[in-house]
Amino acid sequence: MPQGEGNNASVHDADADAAVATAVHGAPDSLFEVQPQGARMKSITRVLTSVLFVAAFAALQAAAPAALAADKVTFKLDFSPVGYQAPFYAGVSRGVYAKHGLDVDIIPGNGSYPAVLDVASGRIDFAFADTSVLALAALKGLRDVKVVAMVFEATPYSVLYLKNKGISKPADLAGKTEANFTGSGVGQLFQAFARINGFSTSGIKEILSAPPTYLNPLVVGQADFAPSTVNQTVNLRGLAKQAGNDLQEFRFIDYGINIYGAAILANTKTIAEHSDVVKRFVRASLESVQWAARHPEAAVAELRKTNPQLKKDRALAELRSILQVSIPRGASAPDPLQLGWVDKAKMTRTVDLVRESYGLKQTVDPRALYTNAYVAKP
Amino acid sequence: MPRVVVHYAPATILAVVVLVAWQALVRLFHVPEIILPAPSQIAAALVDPSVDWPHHIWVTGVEVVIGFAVAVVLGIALALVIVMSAFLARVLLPWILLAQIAPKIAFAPILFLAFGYNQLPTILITFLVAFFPMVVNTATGLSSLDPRMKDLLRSYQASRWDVLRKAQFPAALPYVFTGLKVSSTLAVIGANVAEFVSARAGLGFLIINAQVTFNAPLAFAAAGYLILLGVLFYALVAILERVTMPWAVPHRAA
Amino acid sequence: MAVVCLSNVGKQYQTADGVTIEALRDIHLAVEHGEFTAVVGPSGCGKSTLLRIIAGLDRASAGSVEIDGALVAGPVASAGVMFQDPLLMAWRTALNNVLLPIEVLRRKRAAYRERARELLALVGLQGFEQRYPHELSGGMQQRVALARALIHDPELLLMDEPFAALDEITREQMGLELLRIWNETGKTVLFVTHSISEAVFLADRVLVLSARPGLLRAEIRVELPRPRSAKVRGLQRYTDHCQQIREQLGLVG
Repeated sequence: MPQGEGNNASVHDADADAAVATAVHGAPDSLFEVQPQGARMKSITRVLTSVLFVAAFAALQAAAPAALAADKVTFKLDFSPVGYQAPFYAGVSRGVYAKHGLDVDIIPGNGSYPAVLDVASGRIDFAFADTSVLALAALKGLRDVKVVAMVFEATPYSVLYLKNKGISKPADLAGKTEANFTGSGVGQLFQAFARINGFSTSGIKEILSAPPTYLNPLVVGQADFAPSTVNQTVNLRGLAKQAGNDLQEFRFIDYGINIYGAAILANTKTIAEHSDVVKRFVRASLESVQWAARHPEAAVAELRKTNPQLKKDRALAELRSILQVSIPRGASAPDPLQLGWVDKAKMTRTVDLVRESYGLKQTVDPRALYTNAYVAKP
Repeated sequence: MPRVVVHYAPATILAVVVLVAWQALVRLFHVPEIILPAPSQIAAALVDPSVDWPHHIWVTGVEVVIGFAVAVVLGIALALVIVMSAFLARVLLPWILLAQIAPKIAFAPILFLAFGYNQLPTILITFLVAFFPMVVNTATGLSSLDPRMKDLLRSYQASRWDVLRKAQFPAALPYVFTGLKVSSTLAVIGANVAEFVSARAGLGFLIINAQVTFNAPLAFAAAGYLILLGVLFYALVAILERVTMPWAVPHRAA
Repeated sequence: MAVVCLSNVGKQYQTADGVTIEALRDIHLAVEHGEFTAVVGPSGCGKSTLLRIIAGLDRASAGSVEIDGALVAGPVASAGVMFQDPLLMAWRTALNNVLLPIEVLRRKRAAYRERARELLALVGLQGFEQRYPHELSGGMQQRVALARALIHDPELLLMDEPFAALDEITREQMGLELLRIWNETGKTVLFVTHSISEAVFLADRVLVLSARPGLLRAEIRVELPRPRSAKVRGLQRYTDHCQQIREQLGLVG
């Protein structure tokens, strides 16, 4: 939870934005990391340093005016750091969040569902997670989480397939082998995809693997197709070719499924009690999304500052594909806040599709799942 | 030829042979990189400057060391308790067993939810994974004393505490070291498992991140450093054992 | 006054199936100061139990045990014990093994250090003080155990088949060593063995115990010259005593 507005100051002040950015990613990595690597101090020096530190901290506390103090917020993503998250990482490293008085701690995720649960429990302030997963949670009774800003206006979900396995249209998928993982959201929505595109899933064989590597069978040709996202297509095309396979995709939006993708989520309690923080967070996030849409190469460069192990061209290709499919107005929208607007009809479609795919009887009012209070109508 | 070289030569030669064969086979059969990368690619990843290896190794290393240390201290303490008191043994053993058998992967998300997204749950999981062997081995060791030795000490009016201190503890040492060897390697695995669930940095984090970005050489390289970490710990324990128990020379197997 | 005095001592215990075993019955025994007494009998006749009761490690079911006139209620410091196994601590040097009783009895180690060296020299292990048990042979380990039994200068030495695990040559050597030490220190020795020849060779008097129930069948005074040497085994009297004991144990064919 944000540590209150203004009074409970942290040591970070406006001048130290750059330090904040690295501190956000450096310091929290280790709860117990007190001193720089390799630094060894004699105990007396250590005591003296502690005393000085405490004195400096106290002085800064007294000196920092309330207006400059940043609110600490935690922001959990849907996935391990990858290219399409560049907008948010760039927002932190470029000081966009800091400019809006926010000290954002980005936490890598391992799926949309855990991210939704984290927000629901209050453990995390904001999450970036798929709207269809939120809809699923809401249908199962979760009422505490809402979309405060849409980001992926169109779902990035896509069915990746190998053309060389005799597949050229969705109906060809019948009876083929699918690569999937247990609990996959897009894997379940594939049921609706099948219904809409007129084929049965009953004859389809499944290869189930662990989430991080479930697409490997597809790359090597053990599986014929896999429900996934558009950014994976660009990732895998080259690898599939190496293995002698021609990887193509049926994008959901091209084949009759026009629903929402990932959005920024917040707890209803946060919205009620810290509305100003939500407002600033949404604004900073959407500004960063627009900036990334306009400068994708620079955005990837920012991402690689904190995650240098990511390969530049892959991350860039991923980001570009997501921007093209899921944030089509990203660069052109006159006001970044317009990017976050939620349309009731589209949200209803999203909820209905989830209901159908999971075979659920319960219903939920789509309006309960979002608020447009922090965004602007396009 | 110096003894050290002769001693380690066979193992080294075998390793080199395996690596060369691996490299050749991968190239020969055009094995896709994401299935099995070539040793040359993994080697490149091991020294890749765009990966902050020292940082990730440090992060995981800290988790392993602290989790292991807590496992050792608590493990030995618990072993003492269950050996000294049959009543407490009955009370505590089910919980100790539970800590061991409960699938940490299933409980890890709950721990992160409870304690936050930082290294505390990671260290907790590492501890839970590593602590059972310490308890069991130490308890076995403490109970391994020849009962006639107890008689001998009793004949000099030794108290229970005397027997524990002078006989049971030293007799338990070889078992404690076995426990340390097993626990230290399990601690590495535990930290890894926890990082798979949630982490911002570390070798386990790198493995997952590499997998989801289809960077197999990086995943293997991170795993390689993890293996190195485990071997290092094992070696440290083995050295400590040699130093602490000079009398055990003829009986030592590993 | 007798050092050890047993009156009417009996020992019963229950097995797991509830059967009552009578290990000892109606034992009367008096050991005089400086005497070397052997107790001989077949396996399971309770001779080890007898020793344990005297050592205070087990309690008699009936009768009384006195050492130096005081009733034995638990282990007494005035006895040194030796078992069949040397029971040395593998992690201690020979010297530290000898000093073990001192530590347990809470006396000052420094005060006994010199004595420990002397005792090791006495048992023929001078120069082996810093060796670990695994570096010593079985016989040498038993010698360390003997030195340990003597360190706190007990009046009484209780020995439960101490040479049973050794080969015959070492056994005889150790027997001679023991007699030499007994001579020099003047201790009272109670020596349990299953070897008739060993009992006769070492002791002033041999107590013959029968099995189930453990009864004191006979007490035979050994009329052989001291100090004993290997030549003693050639004497007719030696053979006679052994024969006597055999008869008592029903071993005559």
